[in-house]
Amino acid sequence: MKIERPKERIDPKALKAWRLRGAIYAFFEISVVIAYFITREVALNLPLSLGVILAIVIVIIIFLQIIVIPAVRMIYWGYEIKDTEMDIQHGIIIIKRTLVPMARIQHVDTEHGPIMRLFGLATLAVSTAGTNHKIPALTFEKASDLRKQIAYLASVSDEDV
Amino acid sequence: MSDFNRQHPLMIINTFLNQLRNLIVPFLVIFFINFQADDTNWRSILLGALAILVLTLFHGFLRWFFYRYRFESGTLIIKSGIIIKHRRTIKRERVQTTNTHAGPLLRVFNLVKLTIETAGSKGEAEFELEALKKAEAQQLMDLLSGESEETHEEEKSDATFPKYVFAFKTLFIAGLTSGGVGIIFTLLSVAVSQIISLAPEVGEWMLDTIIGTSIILLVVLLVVVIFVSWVISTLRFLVRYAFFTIERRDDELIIEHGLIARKRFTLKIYRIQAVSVVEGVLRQPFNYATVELTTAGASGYDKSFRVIALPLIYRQDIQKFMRTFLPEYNVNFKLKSLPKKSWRRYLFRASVYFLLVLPLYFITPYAYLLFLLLPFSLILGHFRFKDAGYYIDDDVMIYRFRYLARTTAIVQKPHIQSLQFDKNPLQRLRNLTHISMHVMAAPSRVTFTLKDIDNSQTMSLYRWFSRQNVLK
Repeated sequence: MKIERPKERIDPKALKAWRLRGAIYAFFEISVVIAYFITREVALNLPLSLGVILAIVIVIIIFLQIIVIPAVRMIYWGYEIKDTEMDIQHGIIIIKRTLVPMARIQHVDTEHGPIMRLFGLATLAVSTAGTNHKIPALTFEKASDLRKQIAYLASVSDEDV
Repeated sequence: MSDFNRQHPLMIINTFLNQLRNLIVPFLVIFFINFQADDTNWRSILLGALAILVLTLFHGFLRWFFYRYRFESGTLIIKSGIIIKHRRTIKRERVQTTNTHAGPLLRVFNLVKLTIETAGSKGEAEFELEALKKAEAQQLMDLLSGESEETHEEEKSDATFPKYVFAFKTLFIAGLTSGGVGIIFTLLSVAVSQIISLAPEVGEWMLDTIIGTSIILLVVLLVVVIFVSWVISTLRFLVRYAFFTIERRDDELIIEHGLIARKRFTLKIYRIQAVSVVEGVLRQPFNYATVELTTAGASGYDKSFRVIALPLIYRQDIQKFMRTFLPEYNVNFKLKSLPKKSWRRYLFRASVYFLLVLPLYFITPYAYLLFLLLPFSLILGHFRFKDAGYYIDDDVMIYRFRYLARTTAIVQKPHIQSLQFDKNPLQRLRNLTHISMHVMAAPSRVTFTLKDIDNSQTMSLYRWFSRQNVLK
């Protein structure tokens, strides 16, 4: 027997947003390599081999962060808002599954980061006394609907503590 | 205005002394700079210092003068600030714990420092009244904890509350087995290494002496150092926890201890987030354990948000004590253990560090000595596996795990903020899961993790925690 994965998926546009973010990081990473070779050229007697290794490692990192990681992340991301709890699953190598009871939720917010906003996406942030949970890449309407829904469910399911 | 209270004037001296402590370094710097200069005008420097002292004292006075508090209709109002006025209100319902603490100076005047902790973000969660008469502090604590003043009077008159004072002998054994030896030993070693680095001659002399002496003398020396560390750590423990008293009053637990600085904690039972039975390495062989409480807002007590409830207790007596003082938490040792297939992973996790230090073997020939530790870490891994387990009841989850000390944590379902299941690819192959439960401990949280439990067990824990299934 297996615990079924959460039913809802995040918006497929997340893939593009993560890839764009990866590309922006790639820009900085490439400049590290360039900086190394410029320094080598201009002043210091740095070994070529180290520069080549650095370049190869960074190419691999860029490949992972633009192509592989967003795809894997997309495969595993899932969530479900039930009447009494939130069920979130995410991860790349380690798959994390989190159950957050509605009765424990203290805040629910929507956030709009610059990259996500470019694709019309928002992040839903939920916090309890001590833990924070996020569901990224939801359309604006979906995020604000969920925010209202969770705020309502959290307020009605106040258990006795 | 007039019905606001001020604290005891000793607060002025207290503030003054605290400020003075901050001033010592700048004073010394000024002193040394002028000491090296030739044409120093000592008279003006002394006058300047005196002026600063007087100003500091005056500041202390102003601070005392403007620091006022009053209690009205379930709310404590604290006004403070000389130029910028602060007004803070604390609702009775928000209070997590109230503690009193009495340092040597305060004890001379029979005063206490009262700390009130509320759930909330760092810094804003704590309120302090630095110098109160004992009776005043008690009155405030009663007001902040009681339902209302009238009912409190009634309660006081009739019931007798369970109370236990720990005997000196018990505390002495607790001190001996507290494991503080290690800390003091490290401190002593650090002190010695510092001396060597500051004064190389001393180091050379020591080295010469060490080489010149017999191995027996060295062993004797080591034993003496360990013995001294042991004595110091035991004394420290005794001073801190002397006359340890625990008392249960309705929905509160009152804990008091300390020889020089006397601490007193009032904990609301429903504010307790977790109860841990900790069996230290030195204590477990003698069947001794400690009971600690994790509370939301005991940050002033300990960095780990833990309050010691029972400093030392026989394993067999735990249930009896819990029934008396914390009947809400039923300790149960009928735990489900982990699947056999996790055993290998536990051994590996405990000894994996030896792979990480592998490069050392190329550098120093003595690194193989590290391998002498391998059997110990394997044994530790084995015991971590053997001791790990869990138990679930309607509303209670019990986790047992070991880092070095064996810990049994008891948590009520409503106190678990979230439950997390982690699987890495290898675990997915073997149907194993790490389970973490997050429990509030303002300003942060405490996480209890149970590693490598079987997927069928994960299922039952998921079902237990999910409210959805209850509804079905």
